[in-house]
Amino acid sequence: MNVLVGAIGSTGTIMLTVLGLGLILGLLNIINLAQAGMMAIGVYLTVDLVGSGWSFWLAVPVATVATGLVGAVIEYAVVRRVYRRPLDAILATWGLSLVIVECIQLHDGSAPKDLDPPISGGFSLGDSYLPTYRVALLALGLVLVLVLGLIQRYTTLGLRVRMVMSNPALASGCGINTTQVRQWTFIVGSALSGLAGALLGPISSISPDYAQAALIPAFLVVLLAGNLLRGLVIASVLLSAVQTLFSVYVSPLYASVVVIAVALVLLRVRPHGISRAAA
Amino acid sequence: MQRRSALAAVLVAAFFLVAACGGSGSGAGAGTASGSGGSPTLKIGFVQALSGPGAAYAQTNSAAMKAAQAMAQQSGVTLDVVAGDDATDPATAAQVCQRMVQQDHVVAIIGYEQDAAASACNQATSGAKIPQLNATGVGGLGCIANVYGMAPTPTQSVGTVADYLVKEEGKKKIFFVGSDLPTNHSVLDELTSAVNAAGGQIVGSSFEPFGSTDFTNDLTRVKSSGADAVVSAVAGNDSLVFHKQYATDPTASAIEALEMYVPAVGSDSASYLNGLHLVAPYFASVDNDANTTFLADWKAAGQAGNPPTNAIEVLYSVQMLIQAYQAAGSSTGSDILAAMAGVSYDGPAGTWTEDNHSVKLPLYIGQDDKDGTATVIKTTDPLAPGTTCAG
Repeated sequence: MNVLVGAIGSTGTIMLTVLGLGLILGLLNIINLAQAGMMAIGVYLTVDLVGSGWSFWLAVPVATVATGLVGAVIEYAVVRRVYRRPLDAILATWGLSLVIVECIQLHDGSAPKDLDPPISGGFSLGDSYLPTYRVALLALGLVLVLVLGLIQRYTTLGLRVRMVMSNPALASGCGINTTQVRQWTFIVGSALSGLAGALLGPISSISPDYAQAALIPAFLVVLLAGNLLRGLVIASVLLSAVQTLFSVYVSPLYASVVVIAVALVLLRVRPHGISRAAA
Repeated sequence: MQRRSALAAVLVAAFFLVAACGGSGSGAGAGTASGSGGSPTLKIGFVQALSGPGAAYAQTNSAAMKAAQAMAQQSGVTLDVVAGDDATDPATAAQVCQRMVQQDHVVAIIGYEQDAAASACNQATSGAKIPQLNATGVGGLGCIANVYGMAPTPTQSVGTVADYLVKEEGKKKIFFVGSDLPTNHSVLDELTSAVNAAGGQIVGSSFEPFGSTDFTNDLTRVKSSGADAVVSAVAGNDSLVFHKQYATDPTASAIEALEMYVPAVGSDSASYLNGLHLVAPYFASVDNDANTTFLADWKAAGQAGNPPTNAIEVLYSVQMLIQAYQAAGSSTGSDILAAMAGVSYDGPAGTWTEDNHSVKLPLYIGQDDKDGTATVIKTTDPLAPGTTCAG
């Protein structure tokens, strides 16, 4: 029961964290090291709005859109120039993350901020306690994955994105504005990162280097996921379960190491990820 | 091509020349010059985490250093502070301290660093034979000739905690939760001895890596252990996450909790900390004249909220250093180091006295209030640190 409760809690957080990352890495092939910075922008905007008297549920969508706008500026100014240069993209986005952290520190200081969970209460299951808000995060993560999957599979927009991902030259020859598709993909990915940051704020400590610790597990999940969105869900559940099992039965200190080891083994067995669309 | 190579070589050489000539001062460990009006100037380094998991205390530490500079000025000493960020990383700490010693020629380094970073910094300070005062204490460092801990030792804290919880509150079964830091493993060992000696027992323990964001498993262990009190030593930003989860879990929150590292929450006390017991060398509600003056100065300096414990540890580090400087009658780092033994300062948190490379000091048990303060419910006599360092 402890493992189930722990896994439910951490699956939700991991899934929300990887959505934006997975979109940008999976579709644009960009390792976006500014992911944590985007999440920090989302949560700090939410903190400022809630502190000004806004409702949490109103502040989150506003912060999401604002982070998307920041993503638009970053895409235009920096990322667009490094689409075909993955190593340069890593450096560029890492530099951006440093700039974002420093800007937040200058504006808000380094003292930690706090957000109250918007949903109180929870469920006692044996000796474990599962807050309702964490269940809500898991549900929201699943809904977002479902919506993204439906868009990708059944809409013209999704078709265009898949065409650009598979064969940019052919997509361009068919009249698709590949630059615009990439731009919107990055904007949506940034907005999703901002959304994740805002939603995870009430259960995390909020400081300028917010979510930095979550980057490595998030990248592992994205690498394990393959190129299908359902892979994100499977990989999130798998790594959460492994982490929780070790935390409960062995020690939390070794759980992170074991997660990385399991991910490496799985990648060795399935180098293209857990779920992969037929070629 | 040859011209370009020559130009590049000249530029590189010029860069190294400028870098080598960077900084001020004339010799290692002698960072003194006369300030304006002839008052002596001490150049000191101040290293803390301005980024990373340990950055929660940066803002208030910096404010405390400014307050200490103002107090030093009033007593006729000008402090020239060289600030550095160790990013909660030992390698960075080593580089920062090396620069402070070799380029800035500081006569002492005051740090608010985790053990690993402080140990890395010591590579520079021990070679230069200058005092290194660490405001987080010296728990995991052991005895190092030039290092002084300016915070309570585990012996001081756990003895107070064990006596309070077991003897005064009647809580016999204690569970320990802490960040995975070397100091905390020493804390658990000493707490076990102290609790056993007081008539209680440690019924379980759990450590989380520094930077953790989920303490669900730890809370489950607490509840299944049958503990009637929890002693936590969760450091930095992690303490806020831990106490938030603790307070929102109705079964866990019914178990009395005592936190050994006072959480840093900025100007307002978070609601989930209300009622939490704390053990610390200082609370803003400590009742003495020096504290009344200090609080007025703190507010006059534009600081929101009350000074936290870490601010006092930084303040006392500076004041103890100044006492040593005045006792030495010299501004050379090695002379100040030689005069550190037995220095004493009476300030807002009472009288602290250097003792075996740590400090003898009184401790306070407080309970967090809704208005951002903690009410003092117990004050100890000055406690010996329990360290035994030769020389």
